[in-house]
Amino acid sequence: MRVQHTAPPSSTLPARRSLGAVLRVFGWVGLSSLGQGRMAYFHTELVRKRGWVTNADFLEGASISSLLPGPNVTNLSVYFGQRLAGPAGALLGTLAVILPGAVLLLVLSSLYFRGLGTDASAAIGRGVGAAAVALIVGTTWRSGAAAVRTPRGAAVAALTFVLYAVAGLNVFLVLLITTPLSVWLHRTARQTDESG
Amino acid sequence: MIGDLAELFTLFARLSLAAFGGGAAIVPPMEREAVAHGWLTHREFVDIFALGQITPGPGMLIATVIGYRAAGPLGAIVAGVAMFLPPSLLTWIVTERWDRLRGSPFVAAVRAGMAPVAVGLLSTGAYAIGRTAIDGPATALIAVVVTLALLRFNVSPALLVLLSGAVGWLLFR
Repeated sequence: MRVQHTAPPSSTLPARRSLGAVLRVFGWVGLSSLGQGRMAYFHTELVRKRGWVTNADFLEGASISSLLPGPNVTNLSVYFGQRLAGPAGALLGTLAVILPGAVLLLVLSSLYFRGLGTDASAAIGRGVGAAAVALIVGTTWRSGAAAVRTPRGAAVAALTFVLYAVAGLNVFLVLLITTPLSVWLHRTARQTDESG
Repeated sequence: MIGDLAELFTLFARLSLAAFGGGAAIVPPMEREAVAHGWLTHREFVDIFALGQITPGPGMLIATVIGYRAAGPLGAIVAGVAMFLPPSLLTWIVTERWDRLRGSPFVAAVRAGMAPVAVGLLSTGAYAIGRTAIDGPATALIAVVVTLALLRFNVSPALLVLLSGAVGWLLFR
């Protein structure tokens, strides 16, 4: 790869995969990703099961996906689709994530609008909601621990959390404050700094 | 009809590009707009959102249901495209440019700097969902057990969510 001579291994791009292999994985994420915390499904498939992507690369994708506007999971599909299989991977991979759930939700909601009961779905939803919290915590911990192991990283993560979750500031304002501050604090960061 | 579709498109495209930190940010304005237009009642919105949590795929697929209620199948497609295309295009452009800038010291600082911000954002997501989802000892126990299973035993997240849903059905129905 063309950047290899200027940057150590942590910043090389993930190796390209065939479009078919990417679509199978993304399609599975589209079919199986129940509940909130859907990043966990990508983490499981791309990092833990296949080793296509390192934890540091995953966090980079998760960072770009959550700092840009839009649903995190489709931003993440575009990011890794592009990385693993180019523009076709980004487009078709993202469709593979969206379409199964879209069809299922439209079918189930049409049943709902015909008055078929959702009492069970409320009870199931409570269990699923609790699991979602765990999926986000688990995935953030696995991919993000390296980034908050330094004092400056921990301080920025804590500040972001306090401004957003505790003080309740608008998320755009939070990003406007914390991102430039964090980039400035990390101005001496080497490419290897956050690998893990 | 064309008017409805144009309105759906501009509404969801605008919301999608305002969704900083993920879809959760735009759920309240989406609910307001859908109810104000008479496409869904508040109760229907809450129920469909809950249904979206127990079906796979992005939570923001609720846009397609709102589009369907507003203008039929074409409405579902238009609302879905408006919700997912603008931010996806933006992410694609950034991803593509990003690769070319690798190796510059400024990009190294941005890469290192945005990671802890993302950890803070994701933690806030967990906290926001947790405040409503963890409403007693039973749901707290589910969250702890699932976190441990995920981190220590590499159990598949789909299986964990299905089991948690089943436990929810047994305990809370």
